[in-house]
Amino acid sequence: MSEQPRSAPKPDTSLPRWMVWTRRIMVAAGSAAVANAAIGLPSNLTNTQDQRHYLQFIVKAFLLTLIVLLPAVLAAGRLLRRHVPARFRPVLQGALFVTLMLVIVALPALTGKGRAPDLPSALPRNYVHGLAIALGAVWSAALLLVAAQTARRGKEKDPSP
Amino acid sequence: MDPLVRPRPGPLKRMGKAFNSRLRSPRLTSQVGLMLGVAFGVCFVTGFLSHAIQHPPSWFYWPSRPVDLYRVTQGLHVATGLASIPLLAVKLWSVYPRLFSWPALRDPVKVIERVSVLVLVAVSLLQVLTGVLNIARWYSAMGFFFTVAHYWSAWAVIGSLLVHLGVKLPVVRRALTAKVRPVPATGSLTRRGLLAAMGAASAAISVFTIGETFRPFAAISVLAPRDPRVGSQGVPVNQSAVGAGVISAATHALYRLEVIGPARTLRLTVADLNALSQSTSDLPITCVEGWSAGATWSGVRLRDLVTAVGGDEGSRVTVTSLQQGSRYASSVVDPPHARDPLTLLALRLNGETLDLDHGYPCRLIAPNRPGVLQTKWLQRVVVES
Repeated sequence: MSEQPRSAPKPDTSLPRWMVWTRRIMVAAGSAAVANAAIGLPSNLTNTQDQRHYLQFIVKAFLLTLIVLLPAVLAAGRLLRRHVPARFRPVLQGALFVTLMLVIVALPALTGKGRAPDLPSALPRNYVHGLAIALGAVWSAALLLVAAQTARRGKEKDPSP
Repeated sequence: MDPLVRPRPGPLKRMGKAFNSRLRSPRLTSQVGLMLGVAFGVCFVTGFLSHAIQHPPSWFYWPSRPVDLYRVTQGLHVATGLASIPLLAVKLWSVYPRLFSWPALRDPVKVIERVSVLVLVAVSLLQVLTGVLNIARWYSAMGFFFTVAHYWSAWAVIGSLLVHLGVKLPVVRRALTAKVRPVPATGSLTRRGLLAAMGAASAAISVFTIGETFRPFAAISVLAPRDPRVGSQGVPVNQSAVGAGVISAATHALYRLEVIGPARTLRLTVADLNALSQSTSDLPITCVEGWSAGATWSGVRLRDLVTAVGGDEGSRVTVTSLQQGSRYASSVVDPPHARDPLTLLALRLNGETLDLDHGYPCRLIAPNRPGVLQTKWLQRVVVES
């Protein structure tokens, strides 16, 4: 019996039949949906300026997130690993993550760009105060967690009744 | 050597290794990916419903009851979209080093997968960011018509998600059914801790924004773009009379509401409308931007006017506003809504004459419809048999 060359792809016979068909259906349905978008978007967003702004937005959002935001988050994680004691780190990491998410959600309202003098019910709150309250709640919860962990550690060290 | 299967270039390899947390694993990526897939699925279905109600395909039917159904679906759409932001962030973080993996294009399946991932990431970011900008009414930051772009991009997201999941299904299955690999303790977040932080972020976003549609949370939703308690006559407004340029026409002494039907045409003054049989409906006004507010409306039943001009239970009604040049200046009221006894040409809101910003002298209010179809400042009602 001759040996197959090492580079030849082996047919994948390990997948159950239902999965093979599920994958085919998903890829076919997904491709159809993407094609629908590729046809529908330019034929409905007909203004060339709108189309240009759409493409600019998508590129900027992509680059800002993957080239600026994510590396910044990863770098912050490395700094935390280096400079923050291990017992505080998980809570600090979690609280920073929640903070970042809340800031991203609140940012458009914080700028107030959507306010209009004839529409007092649009963006009716003080969002600086709102964000301060939200972050206050998050960091209070974080402090409580750290305090609870510290107390538990203390008890573990001193098991006397 | 085939350029597509050459080893990774040096700088990319170094970048890929530079941020290599041990928390990353196919299991974590699969878990978060599935949650994100469910969230995007909810957004797609509820978004499609909202679009279909406004631009109904021939096969589409939307009932007038339950009255709060659209309030729930659109509230869910915006709330789920906001809550998915931490999921998307963790998902991107979990696969970030793979951006630097090489070769990228080993075989056709890889090519499809890579292209679908590129589309998925780019359009997911667009959807989430434009959604956040839209509810905060910061339209100028987009520079394109949000509604059209958001709707068609949703097809690209859901399509590329299906392709991606289809390609990755064996990996996902293996990752979720395999024995859990213990992550060496590093003092940082554990896998469970990361998922808890992600859940906490989604919960915090929800609590601090959901009050724009879920009134019991209005007082604590300090980041909600709307407060259902704030607005003229206690109800928020999305388009003012000044912005619509209708003040003069709406307050003119010669104002008449024209009701055109198969049998006759009526021209009604505000006094005529007030002299007709009046009804009261408790209905929410639900904005496509996700906020909603319940209110008590009083006025003339639409079906009474339909009957008065020779229409019947199967009549379709088109209402037109005094507002000029707006894509929302008229709307179609299909028979289920037109014959519903709760559907009114409202003259009063919460016991007072309608404020100009709420559509004085007369506006449509019907159950289970988006706010953009609750046409304000009515000048014409056309009843078709």
